[in-house]
Amino acid sequence: MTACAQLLAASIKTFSRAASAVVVPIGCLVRVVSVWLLALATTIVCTSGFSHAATAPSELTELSLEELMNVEVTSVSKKPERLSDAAAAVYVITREDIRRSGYTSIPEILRLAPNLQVARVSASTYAISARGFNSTSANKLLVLIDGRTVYTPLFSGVFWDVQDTLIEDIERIEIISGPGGTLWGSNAVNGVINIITRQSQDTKGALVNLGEGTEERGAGVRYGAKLGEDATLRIYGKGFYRDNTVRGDGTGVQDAWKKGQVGFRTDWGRGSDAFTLQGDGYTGTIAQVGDNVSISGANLLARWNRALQDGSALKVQAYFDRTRRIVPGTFGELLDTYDIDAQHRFQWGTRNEIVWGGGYRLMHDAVTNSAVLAFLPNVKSLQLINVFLQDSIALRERLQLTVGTKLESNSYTGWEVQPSARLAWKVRDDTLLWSAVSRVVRTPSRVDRDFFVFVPTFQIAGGPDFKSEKLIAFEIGYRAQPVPHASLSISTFYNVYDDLRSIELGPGGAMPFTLTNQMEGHTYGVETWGSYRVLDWWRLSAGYNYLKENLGFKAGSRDTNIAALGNDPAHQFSARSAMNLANNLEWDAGLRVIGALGSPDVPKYVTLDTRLGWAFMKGVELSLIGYNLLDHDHPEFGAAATRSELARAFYARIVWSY
Amino acid sequence: MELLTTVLRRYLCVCLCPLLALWVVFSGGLVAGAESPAPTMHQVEAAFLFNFAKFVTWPDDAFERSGSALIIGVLGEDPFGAVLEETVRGKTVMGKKLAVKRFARVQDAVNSHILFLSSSEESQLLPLLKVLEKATVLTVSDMEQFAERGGMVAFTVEDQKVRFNVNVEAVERAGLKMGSQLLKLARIVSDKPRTGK
Repeated sequence: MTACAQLLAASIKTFSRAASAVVVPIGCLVRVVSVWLLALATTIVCTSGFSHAATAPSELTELSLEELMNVEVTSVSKKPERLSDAAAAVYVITREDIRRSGYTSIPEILRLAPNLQVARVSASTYAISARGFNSTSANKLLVLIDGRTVYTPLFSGVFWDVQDTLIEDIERIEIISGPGGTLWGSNAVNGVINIITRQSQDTKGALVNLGEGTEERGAGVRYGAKLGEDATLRIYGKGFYRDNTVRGDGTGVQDAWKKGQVGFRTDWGRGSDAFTLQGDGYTGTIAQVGDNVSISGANLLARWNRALQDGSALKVQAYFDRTRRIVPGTFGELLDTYDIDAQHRFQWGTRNEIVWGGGYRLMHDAVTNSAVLAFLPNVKSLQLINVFLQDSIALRERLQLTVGTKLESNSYTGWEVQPSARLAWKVRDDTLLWSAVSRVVRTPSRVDRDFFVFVPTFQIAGGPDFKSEKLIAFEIGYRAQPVPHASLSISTFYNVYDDLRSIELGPGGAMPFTLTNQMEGHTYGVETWGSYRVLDWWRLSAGYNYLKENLGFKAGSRDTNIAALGNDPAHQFSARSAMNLANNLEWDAGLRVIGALGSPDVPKYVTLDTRLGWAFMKGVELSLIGYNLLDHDHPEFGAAATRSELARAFYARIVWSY
Repeated sequence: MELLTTVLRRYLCVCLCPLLALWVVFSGGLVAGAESPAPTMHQVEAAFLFNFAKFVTWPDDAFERSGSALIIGVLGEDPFGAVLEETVRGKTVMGKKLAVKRFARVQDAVNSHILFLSSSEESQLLPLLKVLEKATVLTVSDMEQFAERGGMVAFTVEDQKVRFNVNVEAVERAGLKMGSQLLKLARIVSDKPRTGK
């Protein structure tokens, strides 16, 4: 479902539910914030006092080897910072995890991250979010593919049906739950997803994959080669088809999804310079009643990294991205994005590592309106300008403070400030305690400001005064490797939201509605995951999330539709097992237990996916995969009348590479 | 409403106490901070690299292409910052000037004499070592199990002191000679699977 249709549907339900207003004890919060700031201010003042007293490196060379062996060192964090040292709730899906999952698309692969909520609504539609507010137009998540932002300024969400690459070429996916606004910018409110593809020097040779199953089929091919002494190139092509789905009452839904995509990546490097040029192009259709939805797009990205003499590094990146989506009878959109970013990282003294940079983005959005709904003006250019500065300070031997802020100007609300402070305490080499406080905003998207609906009984006249949604987030986390074969991560958060989107009638309760910021509230929760290598050939992992949302309307608001904001399970549990059996056989299984959703109602469900893999000869791997094995079918998200059920499905896949 | 406030307070306490504790720990350490703090791990590692230059012997032809300078290279994202330059500034070893170079690609690093492999390169360690096999380069890193995986010298930190493991076979395969001054302080490891255990 498109954003506007979603908003429309959600809005029509207005008045259907009553919600009691929640008053946040502001005073209490203010106290916490001020204590935090005081602590930070003190630490910053103090660090500057003793940052220049370190032993000069040249003195150490005067020592004999034996004396050198007896010098005690501080374990200032290694650079580049390993993710295990980051003061944030980070989960990484590796290439091996992806291969063993048997999943064939990026949204499905994201199910592997315990700190995300992933639910499928139809053949191609997904609701994906972190820390709540999930919907098919979830708008508090920032998603990047190789540094290219893929959320749309139409509704600040992601069209998951067009985000793809050759699955074998994904190096890893980093999922950060919690705010990332200081480095990443607006929209990184509740999380950041970073999809990183492999460098072309790692994908030399040919690869062919073929898959056929009860619900879908797909094929892909890639070829990578050396281009002279210093460069490598890969090209790929892929295509897939996913079948129509079925509703809970057995009626069929016309929503088959098919798509073809081609792309390339070339990496060139000499001395201290590395240069990357990559691009993709795709086209596809999604069936609906009447003419099919058509989706297409192309992008081209160039990135230059230089390692400078003093150990600092410079990165400059530019890209162009075009997406086109035509939903016959509803709307059409052509979006062109031009983006350039630069980032410089350097060591300042012995204790400070500074990252600073800036960027500019121009988004030219042209919408074709229909008689029912419209974006006005239909053509609009949006600009984003940002500068940011972040300093990681080694306060003490095992204590690191990272403070920074981003200043970002957008076409709707001007300059927004997004500061954060993160503290990482390495209790032991294998134990990290971290804490963070951040302010982050979701700047208005076109649907918040420029959206009009002309149904006489239900009119929306944009959101002329819509402001940015704001979050102040408090986080505490623990990450450790308590025994050699086990790892554990626990993250807790307390999020205070203000100026969330609501929809209000005019004075005296008269039409039309306008979009305003009359909702507020707080959420808190725990995200925990861990893994354990039981035996050399058997690994177990599990994750559990708890989420509590307390949201309400401000005094004076007439909106009552809390459900418009998202629909989230309070409890979510997952477990995976990965076994390497004899004769090059692998057996993987993943269990998910997802709590019930309130509005619209979706019952709790338990589901199991499993894969049997067999590398029966060198370079050839056969996988037999079963999805949703525990029931005939079940729904994951949406209202009963509009959602599809996920049926038990099987898939066979062969991958040949040399 | 009352329940809400209670939950909120409790959470904030949980949130706040460790922060305050950290703050107290830190402010308690302010006085100690006036003394000269211990050097960082990378400062000591840099001093070791300088010592490796002193106590390792390269074949003569290893200096043909470097204009007789002894090159200490860093491959990947540099953890040393300016420390390495400061360490070797103005130093000579056996009449050879020391130079620090940084490399993004391993192919460019084969003419260096000592090469520090940054942990940023860990994911592609084996192919990197494969390229370096034919070169007369002393490979050094602080990645875990570096010497056991085919590298030559691996830094470790034990009791806050820098130690190093040496894979003697790998050093010899490259045609390098490591002085006894180094070997007697090193822990000797091997990249061959142990037999007959």
